[in-house]
This record gives sequence, C-alpha cells and structure tokens, in this order.
Amino acid sequence: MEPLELELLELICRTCNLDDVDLDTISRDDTLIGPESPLGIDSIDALEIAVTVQQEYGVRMDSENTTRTVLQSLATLAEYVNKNR
Amino acid sequence: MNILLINPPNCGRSIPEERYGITSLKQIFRGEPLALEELAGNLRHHDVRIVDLKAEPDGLDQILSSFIPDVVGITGVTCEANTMLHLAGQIKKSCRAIVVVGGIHASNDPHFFNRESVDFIVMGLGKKVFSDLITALETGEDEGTSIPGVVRTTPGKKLIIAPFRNSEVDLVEDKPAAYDLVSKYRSHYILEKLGINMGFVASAYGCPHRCSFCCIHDQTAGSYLTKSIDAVIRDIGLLGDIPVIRLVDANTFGDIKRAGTLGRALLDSGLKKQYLADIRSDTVVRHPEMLREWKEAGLRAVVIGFEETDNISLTAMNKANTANINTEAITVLNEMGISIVGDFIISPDYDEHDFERLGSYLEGNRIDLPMITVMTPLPGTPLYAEIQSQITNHNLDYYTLTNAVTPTKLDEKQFYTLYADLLGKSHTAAQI
Repeated sequence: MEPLELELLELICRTCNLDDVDLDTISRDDTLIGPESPLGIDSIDALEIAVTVQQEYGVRMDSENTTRTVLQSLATLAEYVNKNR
Repeated sequence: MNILLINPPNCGRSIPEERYGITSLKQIFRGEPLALEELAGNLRHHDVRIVDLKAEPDGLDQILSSFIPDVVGITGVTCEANTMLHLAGQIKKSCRAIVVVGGIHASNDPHFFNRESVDFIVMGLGKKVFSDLITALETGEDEGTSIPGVVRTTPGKKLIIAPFRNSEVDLVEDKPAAYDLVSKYRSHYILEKLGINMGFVASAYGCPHRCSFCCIHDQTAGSYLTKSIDAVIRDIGLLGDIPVIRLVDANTFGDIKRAGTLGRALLDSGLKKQYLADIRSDTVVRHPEMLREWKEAGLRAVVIGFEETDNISLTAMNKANTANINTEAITVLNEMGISIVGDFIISPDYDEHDFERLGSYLEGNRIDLPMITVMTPLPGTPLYAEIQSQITNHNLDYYTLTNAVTPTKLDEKQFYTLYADLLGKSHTAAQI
C-alpha cells in the first residue's frame, strides 16, 4: 500500500469511528462502500468520507457519480486525490 | 352538498410570554390553507367555501349567517387541536352539519378527536378519502365507515381504526387545488421578510426517513408520494403572477431523478418564479449538480433541518446525517448563492454551554434565516413514545415548538431568556 493510501485508510477509520479495524487486513483494491466492504461503510459514511477528504485535502467530489467512482477502493481514492489536489 | 372547510386561527399559547413577558418566541403561522384548497379541488361539483380564520379571525360567524353547511371540515396541526374541537362544538351548536376533522394531528393522534362534537376523522392524505366520504354521506349508502382512512367517532368507546396506506391515487392530481376559493385572502399570504406575495404548491408528500421528532411520517405511513411534473407545473401556473412559490413538501428532493427532471422542467417552462423548498443537507452534498440546475430555474432558498451541531444529538434523533455533512452543505449553498433557512432544535436539557455552542455555530456558518425551535414530543411520534412519562405540560395549545413541555434543566426563566437572546442575535441580519 502506498503512503497516501494508508493515510486515507486511517482517515476513513477515524471519520467513521472504525476503532477495531486491523489495517493490515485491508488491501488497496478492496471495495470501500457497500455490503462487500470489509470496513462495512454505508452511504452516509461514504458522504462523510467525501466531505472529510474535501476538508483535509481540498479535493471536492462534486457529484454522486464522482463520489461513487472515486470511493471504489483506496487505490481509486488516492489516485483522485493525487490528481486533483 | 354545502361544504364548509375551516382553517383555524392562530391559537398557540406561549409560556415565555405568559410567565415572563418574553414576546419574541411566539409562533405565528402564515400562508394559505393549501390542504383545504386541495380537498376543495376534488369537490368541484359541490358548493364549497373555505374560511381562513388566520386571515379573517371573525370569519366563521359571518359565513354561517349566510351559508348553511351540510358538512364542515376542520384541519389543523397539533397546537391547533384544542381549537379544532372548540370550533367543532361551535358548529354543532349553530347548525346540524356533520363535522369532519383531518390534518396532521388527526392523522397522528386520532383518539384525541373521539368526542361528541366530531363525527368523522380523516387520517392521512384526505383529498380522495374526504371526497369519498362526502359521496357516501350524500347517497346514504354506508355512513362512510368502510372507507379506508375514515374513522367514525365513538365517544366513550375505543376508536376502531382499520389499517390503511395512502398511495399516488390519493393525490387525485388531475384535480388541482381550488386556489380561487381563497382569492379574497390572497393579500394576507406574503413572504414576511420581503413583503411580497407567496403561493403554496405541493409537489410531494411524506418522507421515507424516520426522524424521531417528526410528525410527517404517519401522514403517508412512510411512503414518499410525488405529483407528476406536469401537475406541478400546472399548479404553479394557476397561481398566476404570484412571484414566490413555496413548495410545501416535507422533502421536495426525496427522489433525485424526479427532482432533477422537475428542476429542468421549471427552467423550460419559462415560469420565471422564485422557489423555496425543503431539502436534506446530505442531498445538497451528494447532488450539487442538480441544485445548480434548480438555482438556474429560480431556486431562491432552501429549508434544511440541521437540527443540532453534533453527531451524538443527530444520532439520538435518528436523523441519519452528520454535523460535518451539515456544515459542508452550508458551504456548497453559500457558494451557489442559494439562501438557507436552517432549522435547529434546542432541547429542554440545554444549559448555558449548549446555548453558547449553538450561538457560535450560527456565528461561524452563514445561515440566512435560522429557525430555532424547542424539542417537542408531538403525539404520535417516536419521540412522544420515548419520553411520554417526562411530559409535564399536556395542554396541546403549548405544542407550538417554541415551548418546553418537559422540564428544563436550567431555571425556566433563564432557559427562555437565553433562547430569546439566541434567536434575537441570529436574526439581526436575517434574510431570504
């Protein structure tokens, strides 16, 4: 996992109050949102993550489609942040 | 049949005013009685009159001197429930009309109206149901008791309420609201801050969310029902040259695809109105692109229930939203130039620190018109079931959302003084 991806994972866990997640078990391509997510993130959590990313990195996801695409995995999120910050 | 529909007068009472002389916290309702106009729109083959006692407080005696109703319909919210009963008694003394009550309180707490002065209770959306009841009464077929949503009162005995759920059929959208029946009151229906005329249009009913304090859910048993785009455009057109349209839905944007289509249709219609509508903050953050289109179509201001400034309180209200998302929605709307009417709910448990916290939030976030109410357990809501035993004031006249009906943590006078100060400060530069 790249440093930014790990940083984003920690941010996600902090934002969603996921205190008992073993970070080593999460991979960069795991699904972030929905029933298949190892983090158990729901749609309101996803929105909270999008807002927090905007506040921390100055990168806004300006439509639901963008949010859905960007939050597919840590890899896609890190790529979007890198490209837009 | 001769049918008289009554909108009750402003009748809520104020603890801060009565006990401490604080007059700035009194709740006054303004705007047209759209629910009655919708009912009347489906009763065009009868002689229907609407008396709006908010606009014409002595209008009832006047109309009863020249119009003998066969049926009287009375609507109202919770703080008007006692007055609805009083009006029902007045009607029974003055004529032989059948009295029917409906509206939010009748839907959420029908047992309250199981009295001698009331003959029928209409629960939920009444446009079709009330018309069906009128037909049944006219034909004498069955006294209306088999119509889902109609309850025959049985004073002294338990009400029997058959389960029912409204559907799109209940909107009767091919029959528009009878706006013409309140034309003589039209000058009273203004947007207070600007002094310009405002008309009401309903485009959607109910709400799929289940916030613990909210009384909307049982109006449609949790369904979210929408009018067709054509019907909404038609209704706005019926209001003629009235420049500001308040979409009175609990949530105009509950179905995003349809909300986007409606925004584009408003733009294409060339109506050139300004709109006020209710939206959730998470919808703002999820769909800024849709709101940009609405802004272009004339969206002037949105009403958002922020309710509180921390996640613990929002979770306790079952709000399914977060403080962070609320704040981001404010940023997005500020950037777009859409004004914000922001609803906040203070708890009777508030202490000085809580009032300061909310005050700081309002200072730090540009909300054009903050609306601050007191958490009130309205009968029929989950909150009522939860804290019923804590209620010390059961007189519904005080359920105006500006009174504490459970004990305040602070000394009561201090609570209302801080509340009035907060409201006063937050309204110094208020505008929409």
